[in-house]
Amino acid sequence: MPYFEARLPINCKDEKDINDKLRICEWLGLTHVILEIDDNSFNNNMKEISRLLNLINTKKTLTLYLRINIKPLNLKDFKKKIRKHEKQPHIISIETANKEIQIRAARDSRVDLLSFSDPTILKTLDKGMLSLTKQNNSFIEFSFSPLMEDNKYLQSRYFRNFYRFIHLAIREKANYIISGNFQHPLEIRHPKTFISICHSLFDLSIPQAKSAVRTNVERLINRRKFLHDKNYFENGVKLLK
Amino acid sequence: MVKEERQRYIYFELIVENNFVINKQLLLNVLWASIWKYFGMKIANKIGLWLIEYNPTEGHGILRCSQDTKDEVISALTLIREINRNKVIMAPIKTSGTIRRLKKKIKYREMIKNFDISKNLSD
Repeated sequence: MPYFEARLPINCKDEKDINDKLRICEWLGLTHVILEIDDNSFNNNMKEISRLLNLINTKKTLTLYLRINIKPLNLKDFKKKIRKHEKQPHIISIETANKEIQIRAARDSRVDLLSFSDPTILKTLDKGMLSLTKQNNSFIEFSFSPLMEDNKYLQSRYFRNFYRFIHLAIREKANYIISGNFQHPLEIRHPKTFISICHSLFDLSIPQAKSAVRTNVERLINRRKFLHDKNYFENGVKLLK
Repeated sequence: MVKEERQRYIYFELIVENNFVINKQLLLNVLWASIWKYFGMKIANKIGLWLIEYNPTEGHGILRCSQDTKDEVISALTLIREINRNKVIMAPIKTSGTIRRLKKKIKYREMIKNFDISKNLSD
C-alpha cells in the first residue's frame, strides 16, 4: 500500500510553485498526493482548475487527487458553501475554530474531513467531536507543518498539544489522518518519515502511525469515490453487475 | 557474554537552497544538534552515529546507527529544516542491516530512476 501526502496546499495561479512542489514529491519518491485548493480560489479560477485537472490526468509517476478546503465564516456560510460543492468528486474538508460549525460539519455526511491542522484550531478538539466523526465515518486531520516551527516556545507548545490530541483520538478510536501541509517546496517531507517521528517522539506504535498515512487516507479517498458511485449503498454493500 | 549491538545503515539524500555545499563536519554538527534538541542525552548515548560515506557535491551519504535508535536518527534528519539560513531537505531513502544490501538497494533505485527517464525521453 502506498504512502499518501494528504495535504499539499497549492496556488492555482502559480504554475511554477505547483511544478516545484510536484518535482520535490517525485524526488522524495512519493506516488500519491492530495492537492489542496482553497474554496475561494476553486470558485474564482475555473480556467486554472481545468488546467490542473488535465495535469492530474497526464502525470505518469504521481497519482494526484484534489481536495477543497472550506473555511466558513459562520453557519450560514457553511451551508451555502457545502451545497455548492456537494456534487464535486473531490474530497471536502472543513477548517474552522467555530465549535457550532464543527459540530454541524461532523454530522454532515457531505463533509469528508475535519481539519485540525492549525495550532489554534487543534485546541478546540474534544471527545464529543471525535465521537461524531466516528458515527459519520468521516475523518479528522492533524498536520506536521507546525512541528517545524522556528520559535522554540511555540514549537514545544505544539508538540505538547499534538501529543495530547493524537492520543485522545487513539483512545476514542477515531478515524484520523496525518498530513504534511507544507507551504514551501523545500519543507516537504516523505510521509514515511512521519511514522518514525510519531513513533519516537509521540509514543505511537508503528501500526498506529502507519494507518494515519496509509490505510486511513486510502479509506478517505474511497469514501468520496463511493459517495458518487450509484452502485454503492453503504459501507460494505455494493451492487455488482 | 554481552551480545553485540546490531547496526542499521541509512542512505540519505539532500537538497539545499541556493546550491549551498554542506561539508562533512557541518553535516555532523547539524545532525548532532538535532538529536540533542529532540531526544537529549538519554537517546544520544545509545545512537552510536557514524558517517560512513558522504558526497557533498552530489548530496548523498550513508549513516550508521544502532538498530534500536533508527527511528530517532530518521526523525532527527527529517526535522532539520535550515543550515546557515538555507532551507534543506534531508531525506532518508533506504535503511538496511548490512552495507552490502543497502548498496544493492541504492543501485536498484538508480536503475529504476534512469529507466523512467529514458522512457520519458523516448516518449
